[in-house]
Amino acid sequence: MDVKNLHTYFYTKAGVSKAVNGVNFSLREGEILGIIGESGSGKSVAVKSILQIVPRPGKIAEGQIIYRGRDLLADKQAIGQVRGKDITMIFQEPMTSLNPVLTIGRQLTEGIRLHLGLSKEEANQRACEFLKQVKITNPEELLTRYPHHLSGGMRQRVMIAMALATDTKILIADEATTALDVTIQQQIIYLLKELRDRLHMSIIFITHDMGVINEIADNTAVMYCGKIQEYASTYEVMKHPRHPYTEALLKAIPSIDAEQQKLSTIPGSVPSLLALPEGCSFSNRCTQCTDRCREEEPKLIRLEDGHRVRCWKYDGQGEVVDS
Amino acid sequence: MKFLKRLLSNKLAVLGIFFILIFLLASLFAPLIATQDYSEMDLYNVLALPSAEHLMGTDEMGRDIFSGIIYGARTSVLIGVSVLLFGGLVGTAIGILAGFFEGKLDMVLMRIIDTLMAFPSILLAMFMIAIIGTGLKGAIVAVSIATVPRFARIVRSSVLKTKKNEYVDACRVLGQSNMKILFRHILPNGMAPIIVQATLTFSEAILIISGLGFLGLGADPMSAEWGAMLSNARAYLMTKPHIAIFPGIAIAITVLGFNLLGDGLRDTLDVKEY
Amino acid sequence: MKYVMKRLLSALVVVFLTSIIVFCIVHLIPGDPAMVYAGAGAKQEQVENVRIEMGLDKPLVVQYINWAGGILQGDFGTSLATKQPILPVLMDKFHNTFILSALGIVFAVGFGLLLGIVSALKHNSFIDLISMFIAIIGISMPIFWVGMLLVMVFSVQMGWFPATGNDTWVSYILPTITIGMNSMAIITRMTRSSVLEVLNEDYMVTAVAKGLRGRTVILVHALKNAMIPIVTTIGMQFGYLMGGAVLTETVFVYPGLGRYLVDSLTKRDYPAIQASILLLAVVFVVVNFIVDSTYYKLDPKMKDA
Repeated sequence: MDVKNLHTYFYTKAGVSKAVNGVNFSLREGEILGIIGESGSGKSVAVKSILQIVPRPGKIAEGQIIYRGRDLLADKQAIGQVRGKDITMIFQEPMTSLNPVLTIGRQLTEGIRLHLGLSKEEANQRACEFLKQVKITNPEELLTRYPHHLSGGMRQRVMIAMALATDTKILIADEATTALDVTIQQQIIYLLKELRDRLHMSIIFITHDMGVINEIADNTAVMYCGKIQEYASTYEVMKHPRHPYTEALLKAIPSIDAEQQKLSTIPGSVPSLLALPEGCSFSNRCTQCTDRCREEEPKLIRLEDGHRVRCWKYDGQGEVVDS
Repeated sequence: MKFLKRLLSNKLAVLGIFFILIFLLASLFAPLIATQDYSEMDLYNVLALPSAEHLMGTDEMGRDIFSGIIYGARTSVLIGVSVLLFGGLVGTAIGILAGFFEGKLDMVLMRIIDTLMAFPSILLAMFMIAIIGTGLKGAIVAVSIATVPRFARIVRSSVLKTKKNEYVDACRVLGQSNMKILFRHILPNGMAPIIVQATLTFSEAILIISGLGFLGLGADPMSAEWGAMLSNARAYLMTKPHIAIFPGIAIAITVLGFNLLGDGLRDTLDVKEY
Repeated sequence: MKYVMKRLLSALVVVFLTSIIVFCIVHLIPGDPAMVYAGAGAKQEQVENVRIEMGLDKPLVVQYINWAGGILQGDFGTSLATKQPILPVLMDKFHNTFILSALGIVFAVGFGLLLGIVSALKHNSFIDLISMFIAIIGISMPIFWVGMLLVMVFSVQMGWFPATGNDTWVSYILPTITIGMNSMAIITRMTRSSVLEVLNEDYMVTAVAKGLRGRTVILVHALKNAMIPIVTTIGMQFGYLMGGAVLTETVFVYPGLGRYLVDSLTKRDYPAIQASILLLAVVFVVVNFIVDSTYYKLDPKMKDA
């Protein structure tokens, strides 16, 4: 899948909030892409735009989302065929993401029956298969139960099974481990990686937790104020961060061994999406900020090793990839 | 006073307040506004259409309807406030007992309250009237009892909710007595739903009272009371329907006013137990 | 099942308690019950006769047992006003009120649900505003005035519907609207707020993300959840409806239980008052019980409670 120049804005009484302001990325088959950023960076809105489930008053203002040769945004029919089938999503809160008055079985099979046209028995069978894939031991019994019978970790597994059972090619996980205990988090991350290997699917993993990104993602995109600021393999981003924002984020992670008197923070605060600054959106908080940063917004450039970064520090070191 | 600002920005609530003000002013300044004493009967002018002399016409006994409406407002306020006081105090007391002490007391009280709530207010009121007898006193007591369950429920749930807050535990650790905790902390913080309930109770009370008046079970049918006026108008519905219009509008506007205000308060104070 | 049994027990307790209170009406009013039964202007001798006849000299508990026993066997006593047994009259009136209430609730639920759902789906649109406007007026207008207005417009002016009685099916229309109007408004508001709340829940986003077709999403996922509080409201409304029956029946001179109760109150016909109130109480308890049981079926969480 290729996402090109995606802009999604929220048209509110207070003004236009540019939640996603020019995002580009590619996703290969079998790749796990991690998108990291703080709250309000636009990562959630970006992936919701892919599925076209952006809540009001948000609207996709421009862009192209190419999947298997079709632009999902231009081709009106395409998204209906793809949503919930080829491209699926799991959410942050397993406790409230399942319908409390419908059985697990019903919620699992309705997608299967709709998208794959199976009969009730076939759908139930398939549901059980996928429940086994997510390491649930007695799936047949689970089908008749209700969400409130399950723990958070189990509900999230059910959500994953639900997403996969329709022959998903791209699974989008929007903060899917954020609300879980650390140990359960580990299990889910491990499970997702295993499933990617076995089913050859791609995953877009959204989170604000660097530790999780490190564990699961092949490549990482760092988002801030609606734009991607840095985009490279996870190893490179973690070990050799180029963008001051990424550097600051990594520095802010407290370490058990290090001798620290004070926790490192990033001074200042995120600018309002209703009134973004003229130059680089990180300029008001960046320790290496220059005049040019304040006046002109840097473009995303690709450095020699393929590492992409949006910062004037690297001006002239690579070709411009997007605006 | 941020709350006032928010409330006043809700246009429907403002409309409600407007209606309520008309109602209150009419009842307060009744002798000044009404054109004549309601008991005056202009026997040469029965069932007259609105005119300069009788702004809303006259009823079947020649009484000025406009004056009747104005004095009727006074009656309604009296009854409404009495009901609110009695029903509110008793209901709040029960709610506090149940919510604060919980346990067996709570269970018993709530059983009683639930039983009472299962019955429509007007029938509860009629039941009380069966025992107490008709008339103004009976009507007030009857309607008060009908509003007790609702207050009890709301106060109880408010107390239960507020009790759970950690600052209550903090108060206890500091050694504050139960009474103090209750009145200083729990009640003030739990006031919002109670206020909404009080507003809506007032509107309900007016409906029930006028209903009783209509049935002849409430205030003295000869006195200025909107329900009673409508009851009198019934006999002439076929021939002179106009006398039924104004009392009904009076009731509707007053009730609407309190309902709009209640809704507005509920939205502004963000009360969810409704 | 245990839940249902618990509610049943609860219901029986309430009926029992109510019967005690109802029984006590005669003894709670000031004055001598025997005199009440004998009627005004009865001579001392007659009063004493009545006292023995009605068993008023026996201890209270025995009196209650006799009275309750009678009721369970179908003997609701004799009306002071008509000197006739109450039961047949009571049943006839109740039958009428029941029909009117049933029609009223069908009207209220039918239009209420429809309007409420449409308003919620078309949140903040013109239809929504109009519906809410109608709804809030609907709960503010006194029932009896609504009835009178309807009569004024549709019977007197236009002559479409009869103003009184219950002979033809047409004569049921105005009373039904009158009795149901208030409840309809309440149901509309409740439905709208319940559906709106459900539409904002996370699981609705999940449903959309799964690619479920619009209609499926709304109908199944949303309504099944939204209906839970709505059903409770509807159940409560049936009770209030029967309360409103009193007023509606008076306006339309409809021969129902409500009017019978009012007449009895005015005439101080205590046996009739007691019988009517007891019957109404039992009906409410039964309705509440049925509603509770349905609620239990709708909400899976209750099944484990």
